[in-house]
Amino acid sequence: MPYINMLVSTHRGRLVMVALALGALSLLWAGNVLAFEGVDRGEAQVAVVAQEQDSDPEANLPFLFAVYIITWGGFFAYAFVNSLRQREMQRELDTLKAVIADKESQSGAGQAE
Amino acid sequence: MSVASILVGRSGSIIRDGLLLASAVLMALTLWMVFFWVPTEASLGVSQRIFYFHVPISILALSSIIVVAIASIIHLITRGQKSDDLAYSAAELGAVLATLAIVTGATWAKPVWGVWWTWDPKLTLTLLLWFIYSGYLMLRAYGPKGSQGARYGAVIALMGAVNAPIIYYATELWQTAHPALLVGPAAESGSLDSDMALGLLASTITFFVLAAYMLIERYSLRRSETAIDALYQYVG
Repeated sequence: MPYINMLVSTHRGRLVMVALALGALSLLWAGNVLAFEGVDRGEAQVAVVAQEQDSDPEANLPFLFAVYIITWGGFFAYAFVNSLRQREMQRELDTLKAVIADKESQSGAGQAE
Repeated sequence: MSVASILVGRSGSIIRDGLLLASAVLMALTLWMVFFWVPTEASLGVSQRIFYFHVPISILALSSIIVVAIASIIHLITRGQKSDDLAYSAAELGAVLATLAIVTGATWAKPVWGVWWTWDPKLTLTLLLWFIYSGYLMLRAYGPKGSQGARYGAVIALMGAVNAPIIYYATELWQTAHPALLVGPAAESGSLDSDMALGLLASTITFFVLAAYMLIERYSLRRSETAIDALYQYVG
């Protein structure tokens, strides 16, 4: 629970939540589209809708899904790398704060003497 | 108040949240259009739907190098750090987009051409763009730091900007296996079915919003990195 609360409370966390929601939606759609047998768009669309072909028009579905997964995987990997950088930056900032506080206390002690 | 300070400030947080929300909503709409609404192309079958991912990503990969070049020119003129940070952020995002453009293109080429890759002018020039992005980022990471590194990077960015229109017009300049231009100033009007054009427009807008969000996020992070570097120098 604390981990989920942390996710929801941070900006990056919200990004992760949106990513998970989109992932779930995409899985749902993937299931539907695998069972997809063509689009019923009426006579007006007949010219462009897939017609009788020598090969199965859906034979290349794995390539379509590969592109879909690669695209989203790429974007989310980049977002993840950026979130790791932000975490590292926060760590560096904490280190710097400690160093500056240490320096200030040392100079304060020097003035007191 | 400058545009840069708006983007990284408190009001920028609202803009970023808005862009993230808009991209999520638009992406849901686009996915529905791509998988259920747009008609299936007669000769290529469902693999043609890769088009709705590949084309917007490729447009963005080309646009990013233009942004890098413009920001680099501004940096060369003004010597401002913000323009250099913007150039770096756009280059990094552009590298991701160029990688995705090449990989999605190869995945489309396999079912259509029977090969993952061919040394077609458009493909080769896009690979060159990827090398330009990689060269820029490697130079910034391992080359001279500070303003000298930014100047060297600007030169690479300008080379990339020269390459961008050549990539776009490659199908006009050479006999290529790559499909002819369907979008942009050199595309023939009516070369794309109206529903497909609408699907492509929706997809392009969606990816632009997502890329804008990611660019602003990266720019904000880069500004913080620059500030921390300055603090390190101050602390000694």
